[in-house]
Amino acid sequence: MYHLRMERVRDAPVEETVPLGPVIQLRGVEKVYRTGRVEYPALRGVDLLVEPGELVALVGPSGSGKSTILNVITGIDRPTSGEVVVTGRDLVDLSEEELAIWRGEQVGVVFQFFQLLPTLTALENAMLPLDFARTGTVAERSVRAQRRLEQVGLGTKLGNFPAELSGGEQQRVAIARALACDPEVVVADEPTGNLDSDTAAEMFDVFGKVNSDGTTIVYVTHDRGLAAAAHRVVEIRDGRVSDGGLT
Amino acid sequence: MISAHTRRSIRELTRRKARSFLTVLTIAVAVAGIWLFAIPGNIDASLTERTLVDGMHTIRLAPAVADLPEQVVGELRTTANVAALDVRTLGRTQMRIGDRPQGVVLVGVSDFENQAVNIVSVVDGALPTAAGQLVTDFENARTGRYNGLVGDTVALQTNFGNWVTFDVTGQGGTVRYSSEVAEDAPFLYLRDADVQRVMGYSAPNSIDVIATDQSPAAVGAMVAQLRTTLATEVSDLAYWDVLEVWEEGTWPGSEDFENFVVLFYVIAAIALLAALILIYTTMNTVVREQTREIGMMKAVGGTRRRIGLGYLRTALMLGGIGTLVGIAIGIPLSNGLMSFMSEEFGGTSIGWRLSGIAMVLSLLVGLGGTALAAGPALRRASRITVREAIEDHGLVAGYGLSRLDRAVTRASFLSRTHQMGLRNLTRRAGRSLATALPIALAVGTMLAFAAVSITALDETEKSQNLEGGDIIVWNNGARGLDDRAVALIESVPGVEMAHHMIYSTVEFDGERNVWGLPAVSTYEHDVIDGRWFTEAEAEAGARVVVLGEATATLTDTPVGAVITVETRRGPVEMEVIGVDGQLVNDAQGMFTPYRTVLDYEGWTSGNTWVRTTEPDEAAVDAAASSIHRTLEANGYTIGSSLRYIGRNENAAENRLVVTVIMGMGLPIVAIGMIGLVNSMTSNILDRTREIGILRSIGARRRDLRSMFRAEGLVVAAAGWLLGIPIGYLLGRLIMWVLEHEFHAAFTYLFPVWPILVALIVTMLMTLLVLRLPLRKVIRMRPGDALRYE
Repeated sequence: MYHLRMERVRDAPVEETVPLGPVIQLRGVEKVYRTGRVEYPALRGVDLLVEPGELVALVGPSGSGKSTILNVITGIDRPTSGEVVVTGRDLVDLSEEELAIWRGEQVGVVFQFFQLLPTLTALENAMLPLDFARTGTVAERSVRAQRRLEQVGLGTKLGNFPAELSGGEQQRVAIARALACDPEVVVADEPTGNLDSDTAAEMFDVFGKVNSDGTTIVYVTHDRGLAAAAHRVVEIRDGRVSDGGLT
Repeated sequence: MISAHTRRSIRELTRRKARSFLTVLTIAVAVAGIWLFAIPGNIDASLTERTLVDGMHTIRLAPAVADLPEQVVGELRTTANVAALDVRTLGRTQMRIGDRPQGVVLVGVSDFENQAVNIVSVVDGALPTAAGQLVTDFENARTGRYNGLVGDTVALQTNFGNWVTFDVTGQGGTVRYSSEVAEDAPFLYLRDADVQRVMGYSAPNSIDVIATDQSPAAVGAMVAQLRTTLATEVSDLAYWDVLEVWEEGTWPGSEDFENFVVLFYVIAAIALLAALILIYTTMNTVVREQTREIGMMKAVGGTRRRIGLGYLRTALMLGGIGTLVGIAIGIPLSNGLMSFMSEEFGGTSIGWRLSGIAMVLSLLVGLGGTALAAGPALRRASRITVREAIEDHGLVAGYGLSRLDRAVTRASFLSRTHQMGLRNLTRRAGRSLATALPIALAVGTMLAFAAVSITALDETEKSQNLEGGDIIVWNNGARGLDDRAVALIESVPGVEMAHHMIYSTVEFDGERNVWGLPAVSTYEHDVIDGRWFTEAEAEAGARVVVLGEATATLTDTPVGAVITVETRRGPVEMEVIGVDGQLVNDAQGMFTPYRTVLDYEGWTSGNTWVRTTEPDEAAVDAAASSIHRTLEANGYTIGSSLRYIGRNENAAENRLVVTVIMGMGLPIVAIGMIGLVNSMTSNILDRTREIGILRSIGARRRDLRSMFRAEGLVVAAAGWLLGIPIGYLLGRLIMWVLEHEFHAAFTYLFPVWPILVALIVTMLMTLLVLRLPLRKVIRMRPGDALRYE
């Protein structure tokens, strides 16, 4: 049962909660991309429910619509039709600005190519969502981001720029950044796609720990082994959930 | 059928519409700026042409005769080398504008229907056909000296003190006299007989001649012959005025204009430089953006040469469109400025002109410059390997390794978005610098012009204040302004000081103004070498002279030298006793005792300068009225002019010139600002994915706005900062040129306030021009941004 946090107090773990149901609900979601006169249906009626604390892997061939589902869950893309309710918010009703604020507070995103900002240090990259969410004072943000970086094993590289970090380290910074605001949901689009298998395994350990703390994680992967580690595997094919969409 | 490669070049133009538009705009402004080069030549050609149409005289003789019979005039016309000859009467009297008396110059025309020299034509109304009619110079209204229109009446004071009225039948002029209006007084054109009636003269006092052969030797021979004829035929010829000679190809105001031309070329050169930098940056970005595509083309067999030619074709298409737009902007821009400047300097408006040189330069810069500017970027791009190109994600790796990067990260007092903005500038330091440079040139140019204008205004004001008088009184009747008149003026309430003064003109290595003054006067001299003349010398009318600084320099005359000046009554020897450092008469004048001038001119009296106790306009008006009443009650007929009117007109005129100078700098400012928009747009395109990421992790609109705004403002501030030394040095350079032109030293002023104004203006303009790219940023949807290629 999903519990919506009614009040978020700076650094205060005590929360009043109300039972609400799945943390992610996608019902009949369609997404059509239009480029000039060409239309490309990426999602053709996706139904997906994810319960709080679940670790869900999305699998499927390239172009099947996995990344589009993640984009719809995070509000990065709007569905052409259908219902998208995440962390209790109906995303279709939110404006771009409201979506940005909501994402900053409740969703963490991990990209395939890390996508760190090259001009910010590891610590600054991890602090960035807290800055955008105006969470606490600058010093408090720094402490929280530092804690997250220590959690992913980068406590000694706080002042390093991305160019001074390895691929695995960069992805760990990206995870620390995604977790900075203590989000309800973390989505990751092929988070280990650019890493060697050892680093990928390490990375996945981090996800496991975060998930065991109660954070819902939905990730896209092509790696059968990593998919097997999930609580549930959802298979996407031709823009539809072919298996495991509904619990 | 065209190849896919060529089709790609064409489609490139519409693919990024904003980029293509800005590139075309950049090239267009650069090309339009080139048309500034056309202005001096066109003005010169137009006004030279105008002098031919108006039949401007080659020389003007001013004999003082009681009578000049028509048969003598006929004989003068047959003199060898005389192409055309007209005689006329010139006079200076008072006109009434409301209740205020105003000095006015009357120009007589023997026969309006048959004019050969200094031809007066009308642009509105008609030429006088009967007595009591006149034409007002169109410059009178433009300069605000007299706003009369066709159908109005004008009251003129005769030398007997009474007032006669004339009807204005037309507005017009002739280049020789129209050019004088702005600096002197209103000019009115009357039938010659009417001028003589008003002035109380019995014969013309000016012979205007156009020579067929205008070489100095031929003109000299012609003048000698004219003199001989006059001396033989006219028994009462008293003296000759100094000759006024216009060399071929010169026009009234051409000398002042030549000083100004330097500024023009400086502006045009800076505009060109700024534009080339901008074109270079733009082409660099255009090519840089397509690194991946270049890689792909190479991967499918595209050779360096083929790829390079493809982009060159795109560059040339952009250059071609930009050139056409630039020419379309440049022609009206240059003609508008040209028309304004020809009125300012030549006192006449001119028609539209094209310039072959500007056209060729436009094509060279618009097409050649664009191709050249694209060259380095194309060379760089063609060296990129397929692998490097395909791995390019638009994000620059390696940030934080240089000292500059590290130094910038220390600005921890800034908010995160501002820090990011600042760091992004050092991330693409080359582009940031290339954006800041045109802004620096724009700011520098404006600061330099402001400094030059302020210096010039200050020097003008100083020289005006030096003269010290508030009212000039002159004799308009039979009785000259003698010592008694001066004493009477001094007795008028509100008058602090009154003294004799006389203007004279002599030849001393060119025509020079001489001021005849008492030893102590309202003129505040600044003797930089030697001394001023003493009371005793002034009383005795000693042949001593103080030279203006430029006169001393130009003629290489030291203090102590004895010089010979050519007066209208013959040569006079004078001892140079000092050099004056003030700038009156552009420092090209001479000062000698009042009585000395009366003596060598053969006059009995001159004018009177009056200083009032209070300098405000109401007090000066009141004192002038009292002086008129007092002197007229004592049998003097006088005219007067009030200095504040001239000063105000001068100030307005100067402000206008400053505005023009500033206006000419606008293309440079435009280039700077277009550069900024261009650079910010490139930044946004370059970082589209980054914007998507920021939006994905919770960045709000104001965060993005604040980040990009910080970047824009820092670049602009850097440009402003760089612009200060550029402005100082450029201003110094211009002053150096002007000092050489004027042969005088100026105190260069570079005050702080224009620097602060420039900062505010730069920041405000930056915020303004950033609005468009910022709109693009905040409207970008994160999904679209992340998918951007």
